[in-house]
Amino acid sequence: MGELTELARALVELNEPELNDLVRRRLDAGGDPLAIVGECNAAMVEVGRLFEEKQYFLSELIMAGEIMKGVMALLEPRLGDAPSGASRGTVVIGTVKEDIHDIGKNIVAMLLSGTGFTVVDLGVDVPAEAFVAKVRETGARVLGLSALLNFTYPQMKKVVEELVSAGLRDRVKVVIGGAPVNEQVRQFVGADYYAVDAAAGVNICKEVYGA
Amino acid sequence: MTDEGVRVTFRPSGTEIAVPLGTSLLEAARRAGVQVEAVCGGQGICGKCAARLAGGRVTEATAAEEELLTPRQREAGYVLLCQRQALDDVELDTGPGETAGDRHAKDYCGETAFAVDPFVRKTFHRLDPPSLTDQRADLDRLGLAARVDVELAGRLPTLLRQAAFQVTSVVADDTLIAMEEGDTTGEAFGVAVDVGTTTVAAYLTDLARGRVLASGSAANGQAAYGADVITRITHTMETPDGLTQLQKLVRRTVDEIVVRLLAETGVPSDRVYMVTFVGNTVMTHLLLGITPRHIAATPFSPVFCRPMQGRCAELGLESVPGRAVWRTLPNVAGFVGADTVGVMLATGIHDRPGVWLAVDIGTNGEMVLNCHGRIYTCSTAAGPVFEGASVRQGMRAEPGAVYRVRLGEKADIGVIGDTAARGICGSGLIDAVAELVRLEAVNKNGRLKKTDLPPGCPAAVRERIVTDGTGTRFVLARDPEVALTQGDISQLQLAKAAIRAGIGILLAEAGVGASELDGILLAGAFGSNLDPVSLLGIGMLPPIDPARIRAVGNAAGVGAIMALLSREQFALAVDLARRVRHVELSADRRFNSEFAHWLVLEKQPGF
Repeated sequence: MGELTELARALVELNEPELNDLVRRRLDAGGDPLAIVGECNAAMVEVGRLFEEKQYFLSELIMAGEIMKGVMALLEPRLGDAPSGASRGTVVIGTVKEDIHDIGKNIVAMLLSGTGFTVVDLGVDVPAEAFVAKVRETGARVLGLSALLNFTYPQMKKVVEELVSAGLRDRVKVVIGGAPVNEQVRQFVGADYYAVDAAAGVNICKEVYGA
Repeated sequence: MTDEGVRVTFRPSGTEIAVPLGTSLLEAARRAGVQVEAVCGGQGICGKCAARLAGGRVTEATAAEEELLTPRQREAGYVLLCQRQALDDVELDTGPGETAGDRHAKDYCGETAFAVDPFVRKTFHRLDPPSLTDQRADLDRLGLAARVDVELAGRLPTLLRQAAFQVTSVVADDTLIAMEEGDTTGEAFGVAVDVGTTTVAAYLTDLARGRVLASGSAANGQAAYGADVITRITHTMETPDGLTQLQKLVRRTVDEIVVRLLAETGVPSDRVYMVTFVGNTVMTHLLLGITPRHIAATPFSPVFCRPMQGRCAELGLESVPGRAVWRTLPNVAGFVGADTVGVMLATGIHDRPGVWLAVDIGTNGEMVLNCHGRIYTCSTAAGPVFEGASVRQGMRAEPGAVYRVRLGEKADIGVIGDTAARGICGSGLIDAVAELVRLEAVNKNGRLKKTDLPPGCPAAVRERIVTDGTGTRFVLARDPEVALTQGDISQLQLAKAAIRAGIGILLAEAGVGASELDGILLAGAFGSNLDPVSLLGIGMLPPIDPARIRAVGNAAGVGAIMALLSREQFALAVDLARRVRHVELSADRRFNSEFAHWLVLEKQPGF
């Protein structure tokens, strides 16, 4: 993590007090809030990498996400509608109907934003129609479906079927994620990819958008 | 009063006897055939023949009673049968008034005294045989208001005549379920069962004397279809006969334990008249063969919360007669079940003045908070880390498991069974991490420190932190090595944060601070074996004087016993299940950030 700034390193090291302190000082000195977001995003990418290398664990991903949320709350009033630079592409994401587990999905969303994607997070217990409508509206090329409970797989399958009936299936890659997904589940659902963890999910999005 | 003197009635059996005025109550009990312990033979020395005076006049209290009965017992109307004589028709309750469950339970069950008054009533009838001047029907002759099964009514004429019209009736749940020859009022038994996801525990209970005779447990036979409730539910949905299969497995487990308890005690199976069940909501559904599928997915609606009841034949139980009645305690919600209601009964948490928290630590952590009479409950998914799953060298608390860790100048590592360490169980994991936090050998994020250990850190700790290509770990034992990995610590952080977040939200819901807690009760076989200091050390419980944390054993099972022995306690359970406010954490916006907040491992002040 050689190129990381002091601020980004504080986030990677999950040092919340120091990070918040650095952010406040930068803002007080008239620093650019967007630059801070950029540094935090770089930090989240590094956290994702450490997780991928099994040096970091789920607890640390969650902590990093929570600390990042705190920073965003500090920055929000100053961010306004400033464009956050060029997006790598749009990803629609959500937890399928009948399931409301969202810790994993939130981490994926956080890492995707950090990596430069525009993330449209539909939340939890999302009906199939809502996914389809959002894909149509945004033209997203990746749709991420999350579920923790394995009997909600039929709900994932339903989303794919509705994409087919809406004539959108060819325009979007469907990625499924959540505790016990595997190749068998992917085939059952009719998805294009399955992601074993948050880092894998990000890599798939990069692949789809050719970035 | 009768011509012969006074009438003494003994509860709960209902046995009556007429004795001359001035007869000692102990003598009356003996003549009536009511079993009363009188170790000293009625000398007023042992204090064992205590019973509660439920009605009527008796002679004055004696000095022996002053000495042998507690002020509380005397206030509640307890007398020593050998010390008093009847001055009028008298009614006595010979149940001991208090009950005890398993080893752990005995310590605290005494706090929740209740009168033994089970749903099962046995009454001895000495009937006049019919004659031309008394042509009452056989059933009317018994003078019972209870419903009667046609099948039993059919056997009644033969039974009555064989028994020379001296019979004992058994009424349970307002139904005459059995008729026995002679006076069998002293032989009434029931079974209280706690159906856990992992372990089923049963308590064979003497309904006449209000005592637990024997207890036993076995692994829930459903375990073959998954360790947690979600996997079991999935099985019922994915396999055509899944539900029937799982019902059969748990029923077999219950039968297996009950058969063992009956053999151990010599209690004949046909003297068992009632079974009470507690368990989490999914377990009670599976026991009854009712689909739990809608509990698993949002919005988690169970089929029933109310107490259910019926006859054991419909559950397919074979260890007890099919005519015996069963009841489940009420559930509160999809993930707060009858077992939590049992914990409330056993701990009397609703009655405790001030602010009290009861936590049942397990794969699902359920908790109850009583804040000045307002009661809240929630459940939180802690995962299987406490059972040793998801820990690299995790194991159950069996021989070879590291169960206790104390770190100082020397490392004191306790292994179950005095053998070489093979792995680590939940209590060992919690102890080890608590010690590492106390010695500041891990940072806030749970990372084992490699270089920046505090200067005072003992060498015994320093040299156990090992880093190599596989990462950093803390070595508990060598040859073979048993170590705690960074990943294990992370797993524990997730589990403790889930429980602590649940506690935090209950406290917030009640509008009290953790500092206002008067005490914390640790329920469940697992929770009872944890060191309160370690639980505080890892921050799983809010900071409180460790002396105010108490283990209460299998409180859920004790609750089932109480509901078996006392109609009043059963009614209380129903009332509590209605009164308690259920906080659904999965829909709670506070949960995710509370959870993330409590992931940290911070040295607690005073540790």
